[in-house]
Parts: sequence; C-alpha cells; structure tokens
Amino acid sequence: MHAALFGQLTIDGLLVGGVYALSALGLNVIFGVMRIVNLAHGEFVIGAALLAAVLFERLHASVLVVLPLAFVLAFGLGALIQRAFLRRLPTDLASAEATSLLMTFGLSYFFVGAWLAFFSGNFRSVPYLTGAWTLGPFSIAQARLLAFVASGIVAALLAMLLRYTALGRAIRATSQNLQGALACGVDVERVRTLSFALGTAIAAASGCLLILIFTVNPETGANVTLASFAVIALGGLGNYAGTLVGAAVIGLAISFTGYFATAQVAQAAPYVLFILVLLLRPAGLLGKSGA
Amino acid sequence: MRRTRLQAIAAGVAGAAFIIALGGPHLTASAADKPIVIGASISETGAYADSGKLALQGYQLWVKQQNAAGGLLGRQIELKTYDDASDPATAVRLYQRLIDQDHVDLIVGPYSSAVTASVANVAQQHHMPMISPEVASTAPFQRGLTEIFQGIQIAAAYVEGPMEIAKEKGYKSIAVTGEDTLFPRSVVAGVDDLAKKMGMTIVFNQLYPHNASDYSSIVEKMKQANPDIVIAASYLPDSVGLLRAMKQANFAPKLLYEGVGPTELSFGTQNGKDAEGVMGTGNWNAELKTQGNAAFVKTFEAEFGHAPDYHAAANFASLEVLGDAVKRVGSLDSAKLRDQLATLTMPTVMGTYKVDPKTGIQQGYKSLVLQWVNGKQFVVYPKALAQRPPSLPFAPWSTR
Repeated sequence: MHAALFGQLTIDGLLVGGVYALSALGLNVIFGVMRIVNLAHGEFVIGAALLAAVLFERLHASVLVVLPLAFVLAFGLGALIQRAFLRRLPTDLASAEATSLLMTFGLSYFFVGAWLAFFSGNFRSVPYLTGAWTLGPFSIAQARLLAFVASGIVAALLAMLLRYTALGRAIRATSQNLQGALACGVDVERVRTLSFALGTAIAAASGCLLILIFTVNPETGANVTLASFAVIALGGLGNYAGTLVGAAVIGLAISFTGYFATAQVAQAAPYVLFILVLLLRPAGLLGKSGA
Repeated sequence: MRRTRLQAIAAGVAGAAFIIALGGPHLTASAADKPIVIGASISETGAYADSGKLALQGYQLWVKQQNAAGGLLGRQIELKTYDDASDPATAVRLYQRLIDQDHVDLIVGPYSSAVTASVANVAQQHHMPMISPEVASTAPFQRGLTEIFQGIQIAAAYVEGPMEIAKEKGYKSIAVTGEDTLFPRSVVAGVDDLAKKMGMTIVFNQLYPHNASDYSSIVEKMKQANPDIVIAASYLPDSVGLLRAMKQANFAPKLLYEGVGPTELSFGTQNGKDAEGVMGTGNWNAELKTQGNAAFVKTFEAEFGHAPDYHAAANFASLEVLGDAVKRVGSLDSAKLRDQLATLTMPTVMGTYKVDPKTGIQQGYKSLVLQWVNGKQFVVYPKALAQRPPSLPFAPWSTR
C-alpha cells in the first residue's frame, strides 16, 4: 500500500472518530457519576441532529448557531428527566444499574416515538461545508474537520470544568466515592442532576455536528448509542481521556476495514473490538488491567 | 375486586361479539345496497409513514372520485384500511382480519416490497386477487403465486436507462454499489447482463449494509478503480451519504446514478448545489403525458393541499385498473377478476398497465431516468418522454 492511501485512511478514520468521541464523552459523564447506563443517549443525539436539520430547512439557521441552543435545551431536558424519573430509582448501587437500564430503555422508546411524531420518519442531513480541502495528496473533509475540532473544544472545556471548578471536583468526588463525597458535604443529588443534564447537553452538541456528516432519522439513535458504548468500553467507563483514545481506535478500525475488507466488516469492527476489550482488558485500553 | 369487574366486562364484550358474529349474516341488508368494501393495510406510522401516507391518499382520491361518478356496479365504494406500522407480521394479521372478519369484497396491496411479499401468501390462501402498487422487487412473483399483480415498475429494469445513456456517450467502465437488501439487490442484479450486452466492463462491485453511516472507505475504493460511471442502487440516506463522501474524496465519475434517492425532493434540499447532474430512476412525474395525469395532479393537490408523488400515482393507478377489471367482469367474482387482471391492457396515470399473465410481473410501465439540472428534476430518458437531453459529463468538483 502506498503512503498516500495510508495517510488518507488515517485522516478519514481520525476525523470520524472525533464525532464518536463527543457523543461518547456525554455518555461517559453520566455513567461516571451516576453509574447509569443511559440507553436513551442516542435519542438525545438524534433529537438535536433533527432539530438542527429542521431549523436549517425552515430558517437556514447555521448549525453553529443551533448548537448552543440545543445544548441549553438538552441541559434543561436532562435535568428534568433526572428529577422526574431517574431520581426516583433505588440508589443502592447493586440494583441501580439494572433498574436504570430498564428505565432508560423505556425512555429511549418514548423519545424515538416522540421524534417520529415531531420530525416524521424522513431521513435528514444538513448541506453545510460539504467540500474538502486538499493538502498535498490528501483531501480533508471540511465538515468532518469542523466536527473534529468542535469535539476537541468541548472535550477540553469538559476537562477544565472537571479539573478546575468546584462543581467539577464534586462530580469527580461523586464518581470516585459516593460515601466519601456525602461525608464531605457534597450535595450529591444536585451533582447527579447537573451531571445528567451536562451529559445530555453534550449529546445534543454532538448531534448538531453529526448531522453535517451522517444522514439520520429518529430510528437511527440506537446505532449512536451502541457506537458510543463501544467507544467508552474501549477507553474505560468513567475515563474521559480514554474516551478520546477509544474513539480514535474505532474511527481507524472503521476506515481501514472499510477499505481493505468490506463495508459489512467495517460495520462489525467496532463491536468486535468492543467484545475483545471486554474479554481481555475489561477496564478499557487505558485502565489498570484486572480492575 | 377490580379484577373481577374487568373480567365481567371482558366476558360481556366477548359475549356481545359472539352474538353479533352469529347474527351478523341475518341482520345485514341485501348486498346491492351495501357499499363495495376494498381493504388494505398501509404504513401510516413507523419509518415509512411519509411515503405510506401518500400511497394511502392515492387510494383515497380514486375512491372519492369514483363514488362521485356513481361508484362501481351501481354501488358506492368504501375503503377500509388499517395501519401496519411498516411491519410484515402485522400486515399479515391485518389482511387476515380484513378477509375473515371484515369480509371485504376486494383487497389491494400494502406499502413496500417486504410487506407485500408476506401479505401475498394471505391473498393466495383466500384466492383474493391483489394488485400491489408498492412492490418493485420481483421476488414475490417468482414463487408460483397466482393472485398477485405488480402495479409498479420492476427494480431490475431501473438500470437500463442510465446504462443506455452511458453507452450512447461511449462510457466503458462501471462501478456498482448499493445497499445490501432485497430491493437494491434486485436493481444491481440487472447490471451484469446489461454490461456484457453493451460491451462495458464492471471494475468495482461491492454492496454496503443497511444503516451504514460512513461511506468514505467504499468511495475511496471506487476512486482507486477509476470507473467512467458509478451505478449506486441507493435509497435517500445512502445516496446523500455517498454523494457527500464522493465530494469529500474529490471523486467525480462522468456519470453518477443513485437509484431512487435522487427522485425525492428532499435530495435537493439535503445536497443543495451538489445534487447537480446526479441521476436517479423515477416511476412517475407530474409532467408525464399519461392518460388522466394532469387531472390527477390537479385534483390531488386540491384534495390534500400538497403535490402527489409516485407512490400516490401508483396506488391511484392500481385502483383505476381494479375498477376497470370489475366493470369488465360485471361482478366481484374473484376467479374472473384474477383472469382479467392477468390479461388486461389499460392506460393509467402511470402509463400502460400490462403484466406477464403467468407471474403477474409488470411489463407495461416504463421507468424514467431523472436528472437534477439547475436545481430541478427533469426526465432525460426514455427519449419519447424526455423533457431535456441528459446533461453530461457530471462536472468535476473543482469546476463547481
């Protein structure tokens, strides 16, 4: 294989990984703090994506204008869902994961139906930055680069929030040791609500970028949820830096298997990796083995 | 307590239903005063709700017009439809209910190839002839069934148009791709034979799975094969995805054909100027000079407040055919109707209805090749129906 082709496939893979990374980060914040496996995650991504598409069709609104709007709306929706539903679940850890799984599964079906009623079943996408820049022998898709850069910015902001703010410390404390956080006077209920809201808002932001690259309808949310899970399984549940590594690995796997094998193999590749990592390194690629 | 009350109500309802079922035949009025009931299931919800709705409106418009003109055999017509939510198993149940419980007089086909393939067995078991406007795949017709008739163009004939155009231009090499499901497979199945006949070579042939989201790798492979023309048997989402990936990879063949995706108006809104020059296969067009087409478009818009599409036209045409067959037979005798539907040749808004009497496969309706030129769709093939000549070659991305 010549170097130019290798480079092109690497670029394509990393750029696509950037979009998966953002969606997966949102999912990982929620899991890290709340130990909630949010099966409705893809529906929040798709809801924002369809909102961006409809606003583009009707008002020619730029995706970059819709993104902050969707972020705020989703933040509110996430807080509402946490207060109205998830907070009422039992909090002892053993049963929390199972019951939250069932509840988010139900929520995901509710939102698929709601989006179908609201946006119809039509497939949509937004024709914005559809071209490519040429850099030597490589072509770099503009929308993908934008999504990649925006994902990076949101990831950096999230990292700063977690590291340097009081809320961030509270989130990390809660995710590392619930009892310890409680003992230190952290308002755990508030932290949970804000985390779920934040995770949902990040999902919405990724939806606004995803719609530049993929064509989606309300029933494609499950694919996003699955891909996001594969990413955080690779990177480690609750491990934010690992999420970025996991996304890059998945993007590269899709790109290379898609070229050297078939598109069918490329579609299976993330899940094969997912299973292998669960078997061989259950804590994720960056996690301590055996943890 | 609550439970026993529910049980009592359930028992009461069941009992009442039983009594009505027993007494039903005796209580009904004589057949001549009753409307003729035509039954069908349609995807009113689920992923295909939008197309399903237009298909249903095609049926509804014909029934309304025909009733205004005196009905059929001197009786009014009633359309009885249920929502199958795009699910074949549900549709099978619904057709059984239409035939066994609702005792409809006639049935017509549901929406989509997959649903029709399942429902065809029900029609066969009950010896109810069924004209099906929403089944482009010929697979359901090759199982020896005698009661189903295709009311739309066959999928394998879709690629004839773009390949004829390519041949005329002297293009030689072809890359073939498409979604790996029943309908696109039927479309690409035609390419091999045609290529041999026309002296063209296939340099790339690979399908991608349903729900694929990233097309950059498959496009990169096509680009390396360097074909003159690309034939993609794609629906709307994948035709948009492929086109976008081709632009991003800076790959422009001389002719780009993308199945049924480009026939949807949303292909234009989703791609803007990038849609320019892309070809697709359509089955119908508002400008077509087929019998009654102009009036159909006008009354449809007046009735529903939006334009019809090919689904609406195909469903409307199927009832035109069925109505005509009933008139010719002079009764609702299903055996005679079956023979009539198998041998009838008749002009409709879709073109001339004519099926192979043995299989029921459509032979009369012709596929149209549409091309996006200056932000609008034009029929460019066949020549007799063309609104303008094809605009070729497909412009390289750098010159747009």
